[in-house]
Amino acid sequence: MRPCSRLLALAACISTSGGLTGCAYVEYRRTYALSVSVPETERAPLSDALDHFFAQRGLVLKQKYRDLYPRNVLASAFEIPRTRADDRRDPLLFVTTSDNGLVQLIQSEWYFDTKREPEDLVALAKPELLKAITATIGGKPNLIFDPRGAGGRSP
Amino acid sequence: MNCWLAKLGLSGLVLLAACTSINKATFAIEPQEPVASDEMLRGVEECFRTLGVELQRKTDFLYPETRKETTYFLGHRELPLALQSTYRHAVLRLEHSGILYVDWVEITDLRRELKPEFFGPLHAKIAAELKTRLGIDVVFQFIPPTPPQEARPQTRAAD
Repeated sequence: MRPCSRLLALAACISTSGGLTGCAYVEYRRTYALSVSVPETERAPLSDALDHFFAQRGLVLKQKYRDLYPRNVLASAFEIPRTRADDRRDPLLFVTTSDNGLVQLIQSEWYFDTKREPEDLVALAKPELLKAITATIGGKPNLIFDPRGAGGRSP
Repeated sequence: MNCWLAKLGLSGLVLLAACTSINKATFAIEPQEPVASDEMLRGVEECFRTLGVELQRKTDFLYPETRKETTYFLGHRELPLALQSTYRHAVLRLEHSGILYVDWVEITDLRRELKPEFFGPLHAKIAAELKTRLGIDVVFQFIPPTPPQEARPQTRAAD
Protein backbone atom coordinates (compact mmCIF):
# COMPACT_ATOMS: atom_id res chain seq x y z
CA MET A 1 0.00 0.00 0.00
CA ARG A 2 1.34 3.44 -0.91
CA PRO A 3 1.71 6.03 1.90
CA CYS A 4 -1.22 8.17 0.69
CA SER A 5 -3.48 5.11 0.46
CA ARG A 6 -2.43 4.22 4.00
CA LEU A 7 -3.39 7.66 5.20
CA LEU A 8 -6.75 7.45 3.46
CA ALA A 9 -7.39 4.01 5.00
CA LEU A 10 -6.45 5.40 8.40
CA ALA A 11 -8.83 8.33 8.00
CA ALA A 12 -11.63 5.95 6.95
CA CYS A 13 -10.93 3.76 9.96
CA ILE A 14 -10.98 6.69 12.36
CA SER A 15 -14.31 7.90 11.03
CA THR A 16 -15.79 4.38 11.12
CA SER A 17 -14.53 3.67 14.63
CA GLY A 18 -15.85 7.05 15.78
CA GLY A 19 -19.27 6.11 14.51
CA LEU A 20 -19.10 2.68 16.10
CA THR A 21 -18.05 3.80 19.56
CA GLY A 22 -19.75 7.18 19.85
CA CYS A 23 -19.46 9.28 23.00
CA ALA A 24 -22.57 8.49 25.01
CA TYR A 25 -21.38 9.44 28.48
CA VAL A 26 -21.50 13.10 29.38
CA GLU A 27 -20.12 14.78 32.45
CA TYR A 28 -22.40 16.19 35.10
CA ARG A 29 -20.43 18.79 36.98
CA ARG A 30 -21.50 21.29 39.62
CA THR A 31 -19.21 23.53 41.60
CA TYR A 32 -20.19 25.44 44.72
CA ALA A 33 -17.99 27.87 46.59
CA LEU A 34 -18.29 29.04 50.16
CA SER A 35 -19.08 32.75 50.25
CA VAL A 36 -16.50 33.46 52.94
CA SER A 37 -12.76 32.93 53.03
CA VAL A 38 -11.91 30.44 55.76
CA PRO A 39 -9.08 31.53 58.10
CA GLU A 40 -6.03 29.26 58.12
CA THR A 41 -6.61 27.97 61.65
CA GLU A 42 -10.14 26.84 60.78
CA ARG A 43 -9.39 25.06 57.49
CA ALA A 44 -8.44 21.68 58.93
CA PRO A 45 -11.38 21.58 61.43
CA LEU A 46 -13.80 22.58 58.64
CA SER A 47 -12.39 19.91 56.34
CA ASP A 48 -12.82 17.30 59.09
CA ALA A 49 -16.38 18.50 59.74
CA LEU A 50 -17.25 18.21 56.04
CA ASP A 51 -15.65 14.74 55.85
CA HIS A 52 -17.86 13.71 58.78
CA PHE A 53 -20.93 15.33 57.22
CA PHE A 54 -20.64 13.51 53.89
CA ALA A 55 -19.60 10.19 55.47
CA GLN A 56 -22.79 10.33 57.56
CA ARG A 57 -24.76 10.72 54.32
CA GLY A 58 -23.32 7.54 52.86
CA LEU A 59 -20.51 8.95 50.76
CA VAL A 60 -17.25 7.03 50.94
CA LEU A 61 -14.04 8.90 51.58
CA LYS A 62 -11.63 7.48 49.02
CA GLN A 63 -8.71 9.81 49.44
CA LYS A 64 -7.60 12.79 51.46
CA TYR A 65 -4.49 14.69 50.51
CA ARG A 66 -2.69 17.97 50.70
CA ASP A 67 -1.15 19.41 47.59
CA LEU A 68 1.94 21.41 48.50
CA TYR A 69 2.97 22.51 45.02
CA PRO A 70 2.04 24.35 42.81
CA ARG A 71 -0.58 25.43 45.36
CA ASN A 72 -1.36 24.49 48.91
CA VAL A 73 -4.74 22.75 48.72
CA LEU A 74 -6.36 20.35 51.15
CA ALA A 75 -8.69 17.95 49.31
CA SER A 76 -11.08 15.15 50.18
CA ALA A 77 -12.38 12.88 47.42
CA PHE A 78 -15.61 11.00 48.07
CA GLU A 79 -17.22 8.31 46.00
CA ILE A 80 -20.95 8.86 45.57
CA PRO A 81 -22.72 5.52 45.98
CA ARG A 82 -24.55 4.63 42.76
CA THR A 83 -26.40 1.52 41.65
CA ARG A 84 -25.77 -0.50 38.52
CA ALA A 85 -29.08 0.83 37.17
CA ASP A 86 -27.85 4.41 37.63
CA ASP A 87 -25.06 3.55 35.17
CA ARG A 88 -22.62 6.26 36.23
CA ARG A 89 -18.90 6.55 35.69
CA ASP A 90 -16.61 7.98 38.34
CA PRO A 91 -19.28 9.54 40.59
CA LEU A 92 -17.17 11.72 42.85
CA LEU A 93 -17.50 14.68 45.16
CA PHE A 94 -14.41 16.76 45.89
CA VAL A 95 -14.15 19.13 48.82
CA THR A 96 -11.16 21.42 48.45
CA THR A 97 -9.73 24.18 50.62
CA SER A 98 -7.21 26.39 48.85
CA ASP A 99 -4.38 28.42 50.34
CA ASN A 100 -6.48 31.58 49.91
CA GLY A 101 -9.21 30.15 52.15
CA LEU A 102 -11.58 29.31 49.29
CA VAL A 103 -13.67 26.20 49.95
CA GLN A 104 -15.19 24.46 46.94
CA LEU A 105 -17.50 21.49 46.61
CA ILE A 106 -17.31 19.86 43.21
CA GLN A 107 -19.60 17.08 42.08
CA SER A 108 -18.43 15.28 38.98
CA GLU A 109 -19.85 12.12 37.43
CA TRP A 110 -20.43 10.74 33.96
CA TYR A 111 -23.91 9.60 33.01
CA PHE A 112 -25.40 8.09 29.90
CA ASP A 113 -26.92 10.95 27.95
CA THR A 114 -30.23 9.15 27.34
CA LYS A 115 -30.73 8.58 31.07
CA ARG A 116 -31.86 10.88 33.86
CA GLU A 117 -29.38 13.59 34.87
CA PRO A 118 -27.83 13.07 38.34
CA GLU A 119 -29.27 15.09 41.19
CA ASP A 120 -27.36 18.04 42.59
CA LEU A 121 -26.04 16.65 45.88
CA VAL A 122 -24.89 19.96 47.31
CA ALA A 123 -28.17 21.73 46.51
CA LEU A 124 -30.12 18.89 48.16
CA ALA A 125 -28.05 18.98 51.35
CA LYS A 126 -27.52 22.74 51.43
CA PRO A 127 -29.50 23.65 54.61
CA GLU A 128 -27.86 20.92 56.74
CA LEU A 129 -24.51 21.56 55.11
CA LEU A 130 -24.61 25.24 56.01
CA LYS A 131 -25.56 24.32 59.58
CA ALA A 132 -22.50 22.05 59.81
CA ILE A 133 -20.25 24.76 58.35
CA THR A 134 -21.63 27.47 60.65
CA ALA A 135 -21.14 25.20 63.67
CA THR A 136 -17.43 25.03 62.81
CA ILE A 137 -16.49 28.48 61.53
CA GLY A 138 -19.39 30.64 62.79
CA GLY A 139 -20.72 33.69 60.92
CA LYS A 140 -23.31 33.52 58.15
CA PRO A 141 -21.67 31.60 55.32
CA ASN A 142 -23.49 30.74 52.14
CA LEU A 143 -22.82 28.26 49.34
CA ILE A 144 -22.83 29.87 45.93
CA PHE A 145 -23.14 28.00 42.66
CA ASP A 146 -20.11 28.71 40.53
CA PRO A 147 -20.88 28.00 36.87
CA ARG A 148 -17.23 28.33 35.85
CA GLY A 149 -15.81 26.40 38.77
CA ALA A 150 -12.80 28.65 38.71
CA GLY A 151 -10.96 30.50 41.43
CA GLY A 152 -9.54 27.53 43.27
CA ARG A 153 -8.46 24.14 42.15
CA SER A 154 -10.93 21.88 40.44
CA PRO A 155 -10.74 18.24 39.51
CA MET B 1 -19.14 -8.09 3.17
CA ASN B 2 -15.40 -8.61 2.96
CA CYS B 3 -14.99 -4.87 2.72
CA TRP B 4 -17.04 -4.37 5.92
CA LEU B 5 -15.09 -7.03 7.76
CA ALA B 6 -11.86 -5.37 6.69
CA LYS B 7 -13.21 -2.00 7.83
CA LEU B 8 -14.24 -3.47 11.18
CA GLY B 9 -10.85 -5.08 11.62
CA LEU B 10 -9.08 -1.88 10.77
CA SER B 11 -11.37 0.06 13.09
CA GLY B 12 -10.43 -2.27 15.90
CA LEU B 13 -6.80 -1.77 15.05
CA VAL B 14 -7.20 1.99 15.12
CA LEU B 15 -9.11 1.82 18.40
CA LEU B 16 -6.33 -0.27 19.89
CA ALA B 17 -3.75 2.13 18.57
CA ALA B 18 -5.71 5.12 19.83
CA CYS B 19 -5.88 3.80 23.41
CA THR B 20 -3.66 5.65 25.82
CA SER B 21 -1.02 3.50 27.41
CA ILE B 22 0.83 4.18 30.60
CA ASN B 23 4.23 2.58 30.34
CA LYS B 24 6.03 2.52 33.64
CA ALA B 25 9.27 1.30 35.14
CA THR B 26 9.48 1.32 38.94
CA PHE B 27 12.62 1.19 41.05
CA ALA B 28 13.03 1.14 44.82
CA ILE B 29 15.81 3.47 45.90
CA GLU B 30 17.53 1.45 48.59
CA PRO B 31 20.06 3.16 50.85
CA GLN B 32 22.96 0.93 51.81
CA GLU B 33 23.25 2.58 55.23
CA PRO B 34 20.47 3.56 57.64
CA VAL B 35 18.99 6.95 56.75
CA ALA B 36 15.65 8.60 57.57
CA SER B 37 13.21 8.14 54.69
CA ASP B 38 12.26 11.84 54.67
CA GLU B 39 15.93 12.74 54.38
CA MET B 40 16.26 10.33 51.45
CA LEU B 41 13.28 11.92 49.73
CA ARG B 42 14.67 15.40 50.25
CA GLY B 43 18.07 14.26 48.95
CA VAL B 44 16.61 12.77 45.76
CA GLU B 45 14.40 15.84 45.25
CA GLU B 46 17.55 17.97 45.48
CA CYS B 47 19.21 15.73 42.87
CA PHE B 48 16.29 16.24 40.50
CA ARG B 49 16.48 19.98 41.09
CA THR B 50 20.19 19.93 40.30
CA LEU B 51 19.48 17.97 37.13
CA GLY B 52 17.17 20.78 36.08
CA VAL B 53 14.01 18.67 36.03
CA GLU B 54 10.73 20.60 36.16
CA LEU B 55 8.74 20.06 39.37
CA GLN B 56 5.09 19.59 38.48
CA ARG B 57 3.36 18.60 41.66
CA LYS B 58 4.02 17.73 45.27
CA THR B 59 1.40 16.01 47.38
CA ASP B 60 1.10 14.53 50.85
CA PHE B 61 -1.55 11.82 50.92
CA LEU B 62 -3.25 11.56 54.30
CA TYR B 63 -5.90 8.86 53.76
CA PRO B 64 -6.29 5.88 53.35
CA GLU B 65 -2.52 5.68 53.82
CA THR B 66 0.12 8.30 54.33
CA ARG B 67 2.28 8.69 51.27
CA LYS B 68 4.32 11.48 49.75
CA GLU B 69 4.49 12.02 46.02
CA THR B 70 6.60 14.41 43.99
CA THR B 71 5.91 14.52 40.26
CA TYR B 72 8.31 15.88 37.66
CA PHE B 73 7.64 16.65 34.03
CA LEU B 74 10.38 15.30 31.81
CA GLY B 75 9.14 16.21 28.37
CA HIS B 76 6.68 15.84 25.50
CA ARG B 77 7.35 14.41 22.08
CA GLU B 78 4.99 14.36 19.12
CA LEU B 79 5.36 12.54 15.84
CA PRO B 80 4.37 14.29 12.58
CA LEU B 81 0.58 14.49 11.90
CA ALA B 82 0.04 14.01 15.64
CA LEU B 83 -0.13 10.26 15.05
CA GLN B 84 1.63 9.58 18.29
CA SER B 85 2.45 11.73 21.28
CA THR B 86 4.38 10.88 24.39
CA TYR B 87 4.47 12.63 27.75
CA ARG B 88 7.19 11.58 30.16
CA HIS B 89 7.10 12.00 33.92
CA ALA B 90 9.03 10.87 36.96
CA VAL B 91 7.26 10.27 40.25
CA LEU B 92 9.07 10.00 43.56
CA ARG B 93 6.92 8.02 45.95
CA LEU B 94 7.66 7.72 49.65
CA GLU B 95 5.30 4.99 50.78
CA HIS B 96 3.86 4.39 54.25
CA SER B 97 6.41 1.55 54.60
CA GLY B 98 9.24 4.10 54.42
CA ILE B 99 10.48 2.80 51.07
CA LEU B 100 11.22 5.41 48.45
CA TYR B 101 10.34 4.53 44.86
CA VAL B 102 10.86 6.25 41.57
CA ASP B 103 8.41 5.62 38.73
CA TRP B 104 9.57 6.50 35.24
CA VAL B 105 6.30 7.03 33.42
CA GLU B 106 5.45 7.39 29.76
CA ILE B 107 1.90 8.34 28.75
CA THR B 108 1.65 7.49 25.08
CA ASP B 109 -0.31 5.77 22.33
CA LEU B 110 1.85 2.68 22.16
CA ARG B 111 2.19 0.09 24.87
CA ARG B 112 5.78 -0.94 25.36
CA GLU B 113 7.98 -2.33 28.03
CA LEU B 114 10.45 0.12 29.50
CA LYS B 115 13.75 -1.67 29.81
CA PRO B 116 15.32 -1.25 33.29
CA GLU B 117 18.83 -1.01 31.84
CA PHE B 118 17.78 2.10 29.89
CA PHE B 119 17.71 4.05 33.19
CA GLY B 120 21.15 2.85 34.33
CA PRO B 121 23.16 5.97 33.39
CA LEU B 122 20.57 8.30 34.96
CA HIS B 123 20.48 6.21 38.14
CA ALA B 124 24.28 6.29 38.30
CA LYS B 125 24.17 10.08 38.07
CA ILE B 126 21.56 10.32 40.87
CA ALA B 127 23.49 7.83 43.02
CA ALA B 128 26.71 9.83 42.61
CA GLU B 129 24.89 13.05 43.54
CA LEU B 130 23.39 11.36 46.63
CA LYS B 131 26.80 10.11 47.67
CA THR B 132 28.13 13.66 47.51
CA ARG B 133 25.10 15.20 49.19
CA LEU B 134 24.20 12.70 51.91
CA GLY B 135 27.30 10.56 51.94
CA ILE B 136 25.35 7.38 51.35
CA ASP B 137 25.39 4.70 48.67
CA VAL B 138 22.08 3.77 47.08
CA VAL B 139 20.97 0.93 44.86
CA PHE B 140 18.12 1.21 42.35
CA GLN B 141 16.21 -2.05 42.63
CA PHE B 142 13.90 -2.74 39.67
CA ILE B 143 10.36 -3.70 40.74
CA PRO B 144 8.77 -5.92 38.08
CA PRO B 145 5.27 -4.77 37.08
CA THR B 146 2.30 -6.49 38.70
CA PRO B 147 -0.47 -7.94 36.49
CA PRO B 148 -2.99 -5.24 35.47
CA GLN B 149 -5.85 -4.64 37.89
CA GLU B 150 -9.40 -3.56 37.24
CA ALA B 151 -9.60 0.14 36.43
CA ARG B 152 -10.37 2.28 39.44
CA PRO B 153 -11.91 5.76 39.45
CA GLN B 154 -9.44 8.59 39.29
CA THR B 155 -9.82 10.26 42.63
CA ARG B 156 -7.10 12.81 42.47
CA ALA B 157 -8.06 16.34 41.66
CA ALA B 158 -6.13 17.63 38.69
CA ASP B 159 -5.36 21.12 37.50
